[in-house]
Amino acid sequence: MVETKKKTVITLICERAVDLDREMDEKGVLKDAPDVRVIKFPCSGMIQPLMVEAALKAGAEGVIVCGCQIGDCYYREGNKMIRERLLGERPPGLKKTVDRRRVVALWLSRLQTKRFISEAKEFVGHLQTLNSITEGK
Amino acid sequence: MVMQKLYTDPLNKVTLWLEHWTNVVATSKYNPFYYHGALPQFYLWVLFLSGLLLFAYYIPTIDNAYASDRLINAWTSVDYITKTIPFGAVFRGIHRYAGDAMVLTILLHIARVWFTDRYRQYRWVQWVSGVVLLLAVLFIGQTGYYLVWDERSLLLTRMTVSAFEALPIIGQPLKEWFINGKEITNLTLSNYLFIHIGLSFTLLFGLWVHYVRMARPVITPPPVVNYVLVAIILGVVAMFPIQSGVMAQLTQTPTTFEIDWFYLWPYWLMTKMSLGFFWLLMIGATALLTAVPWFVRSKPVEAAEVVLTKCTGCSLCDKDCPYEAIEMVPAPAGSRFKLLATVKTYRCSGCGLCVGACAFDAIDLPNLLDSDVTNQIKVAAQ
Amino acid sequence: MSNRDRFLPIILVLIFAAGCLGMTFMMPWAELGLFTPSIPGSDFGLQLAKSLHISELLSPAIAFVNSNFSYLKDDVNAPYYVYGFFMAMALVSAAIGIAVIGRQDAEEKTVLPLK
Repeated sequence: MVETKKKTVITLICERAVDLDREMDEKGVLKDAPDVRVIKFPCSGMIQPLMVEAALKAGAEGVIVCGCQIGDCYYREGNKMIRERLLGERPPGLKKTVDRRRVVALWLSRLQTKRFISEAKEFVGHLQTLNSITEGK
Repeated sequence: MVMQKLYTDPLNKVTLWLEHWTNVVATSKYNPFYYHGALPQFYLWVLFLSGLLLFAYYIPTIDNAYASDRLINAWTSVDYITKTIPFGAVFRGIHRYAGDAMVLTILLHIARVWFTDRYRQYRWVQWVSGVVLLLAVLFIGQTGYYLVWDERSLLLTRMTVSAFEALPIIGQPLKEWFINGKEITNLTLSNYLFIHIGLSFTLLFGLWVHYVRMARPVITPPPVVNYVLVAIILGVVAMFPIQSGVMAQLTQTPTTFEIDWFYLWPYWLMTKMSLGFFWLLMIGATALLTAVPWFVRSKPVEAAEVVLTKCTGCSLCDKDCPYEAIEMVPAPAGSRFKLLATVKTYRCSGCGLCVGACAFDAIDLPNLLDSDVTNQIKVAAQ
Repeated sequence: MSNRDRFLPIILVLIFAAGCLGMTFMMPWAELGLFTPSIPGSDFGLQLAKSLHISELLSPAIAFVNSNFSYLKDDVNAPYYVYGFFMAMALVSAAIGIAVIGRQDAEEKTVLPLK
């Protein structure tokens, strides 16, 4: 049976991290990686683990969380907060049922657009491998 | 907003570029730009410790009415520290150059805070207290130069007295406070010592105000950075040993001095203009510097709002708020929970960390509801 | 992880640790005046080095100090300044050695542990 469902990767990114404005169209889809949809926050610290769970439950293949370089958050601690929440070191955390292989976090400065694109493509490839492993079973 | 686009954005880009290449070499863990406030704080500790050791042997008197090889006054006590106490000269050098390093790192701190737009709106207390701290540090450093009581100290004292005398009404009382009497006596030097040490401890109170609106302020660089900071001072001490000038004699009138640009630049200005204009410049520049947070207008922050019906008083938003803008208060009578979160709107930055911390959907940024964002995510995922 | 990624940090750390220890070793000799023999009272350093048969080993360091710190020739505090200089070198060497390993902690990418 041919798989017709569209595979999406949701990116939750803060406004001051990697500059993706020129890389995405009006719908928030990355030109270089059309599977990836971008949603912006004032700070990565605003991202709730519930949002990551909601994305995966609604059908996303994976979630990329992106904030500024650790130590450079404009609001001081946002990226540290979401990082600790994702790692389970700070409440609230991700539910145990969430597949951790489908979540990755990046901490990049505004200038590192190329790095983000290459990490995003690598993540999409990694997710495809995961899918083929699970489908092959 | 226009001014910001015109000059801050390019400066921000330059800063980001410098930080990017520093990250490539040192990684974000050791990047000194990310510890821009902690660097001057560290040099303050170096100054306290080295100053304490110098204070043990320093004598605040000016007596030199007779020449004697057993003469004991400020100049000879500093000479004793420099020439007789083992490592005395090194600690004197550390104290002097850590002072210069402190002004340098404060200037870099001011530059980064300004270039990366971290001084406006809810951050105004940090900026204004910073201006006060800068003025205090400059004045403390100047008193350090008076304490040696060489010819430079005498000239600087006399120049300061003329500068104060040029002020209307408060000039004469200020002069008499400064030299602790109507003439330069032993009391003058003990006043300088009191200012130098007393005002240094007052810096700690000023720093409390500077830090009070930040949770977990970053005030300690990692040890690796601290080792390099100390190494820089020791290296400069070995390359440029400190010498005192000739002992001050009240009967002499020295006319030139070697300038330390970090602290003594106001004295250079005094030689370039009338004293009246000098004070206008100093007071005007200070007022301008203090008003900097209000130069650039932008949209007011829409503070977070607690949804009172959903708040369970778990305190996670209070713990996570980087600006101490959330306070837990006792919940009203009849509530199931003990505590209730409240937002101090004047401290709120609109960052949303409280929203990220809340598992009960009980706090929101009014212009960006997390329920809206979650719906947006669900739609995008399909 | 390639062999280079695995072993280069360890080799670098060993080099910088050796540098730190070497500079630290120089510090007490500097205080004893070994590198600044023209200062009165500094012959204790030279005598001690000769009796321990290491004065040849330390002669490159003596030459280095003599050429780079010649302005301290008549300064009674020369031993202490040179001590401070070697301490600065030891601190920098230690800092680089620690940073070589410590920088591996820094994250630009966080992958969540599966457990």
